[in-house]
Amino acid sequence: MYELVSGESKYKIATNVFGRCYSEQSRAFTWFVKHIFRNFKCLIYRNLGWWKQNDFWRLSYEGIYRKLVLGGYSPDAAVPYAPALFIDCKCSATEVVGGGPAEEGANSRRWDPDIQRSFYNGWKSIHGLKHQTVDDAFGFTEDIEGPCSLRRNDLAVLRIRLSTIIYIAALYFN
Amino acid sequence: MGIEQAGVQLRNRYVIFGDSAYKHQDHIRTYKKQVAGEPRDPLRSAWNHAMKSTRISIEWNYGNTASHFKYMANQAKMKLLESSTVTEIYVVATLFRNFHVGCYDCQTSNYFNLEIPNFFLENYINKTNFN
Repeated sequence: MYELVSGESKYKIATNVFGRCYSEQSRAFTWFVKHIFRNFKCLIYRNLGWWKQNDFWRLSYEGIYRKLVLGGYSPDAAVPYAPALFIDCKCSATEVVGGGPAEEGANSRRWDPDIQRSFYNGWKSIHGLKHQTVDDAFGFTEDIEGPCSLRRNDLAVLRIRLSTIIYIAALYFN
Repeated sequence: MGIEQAGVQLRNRYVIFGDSAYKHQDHIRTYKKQVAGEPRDPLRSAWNHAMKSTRISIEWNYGNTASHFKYMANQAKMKLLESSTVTEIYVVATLFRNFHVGCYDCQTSNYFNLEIPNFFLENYINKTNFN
């Protein structure tokens, strides 16, 4: 948790904070992340039903509607639809693919242009991953999808999970 | 039209709102586009303008995650094909941000003037309903 929040190097944390060796710090961090991911990802993957059942969507819509009126939309005008959630993609920059000390030399995987291209986004000029999130007006991330390659655009990420969206929509949105 | 009437009119058919990268679909909506040749609709412009100021809140959430969890800002730590956790880090960080928002609010909930329900964290983690 300390490493996740501080972003400091493992060497510094292992030496200055916990007084352990590098490999122990590395194993502890990996175990922690994997433990949380495995046991609690159900809270954030395919969990839209819980939010709707507990009225978060209605409250979120009411908050958004109040802001729409304050933002200049006439309260007497018809509302074309009820926006309760927001969807967008978050780009996370990563190191060049295959980089790091594990593979050195001319035969390293990093020199394969196809591998580099598969995670490279020319618009942002970075390698990385992309997550699609659905957030409400409380600031909670209700649903997350991904990661997928940063090479894909927002709509492509949506298409990848379109079957899931249709399933969720059929269940909860009507 | 009051919010109660608006809710009744829409029969609680909520939608997800996305930026202009998305297309209109049944449950995903985006800004209303100006159709070539049609006269300018002031209602549409007002709607788009108002929605822009609310949709920006999702970007605050991303900023919030990045500011709380500096690991992800350290690009050198995010090694694709080298680290087994790189694909899970963002999900874990987002989950912890949800917990943090449940305890301390955030910029988005303050902006929309929404109060986090009591015992949110207990119910969220146990996936139980509020009474």
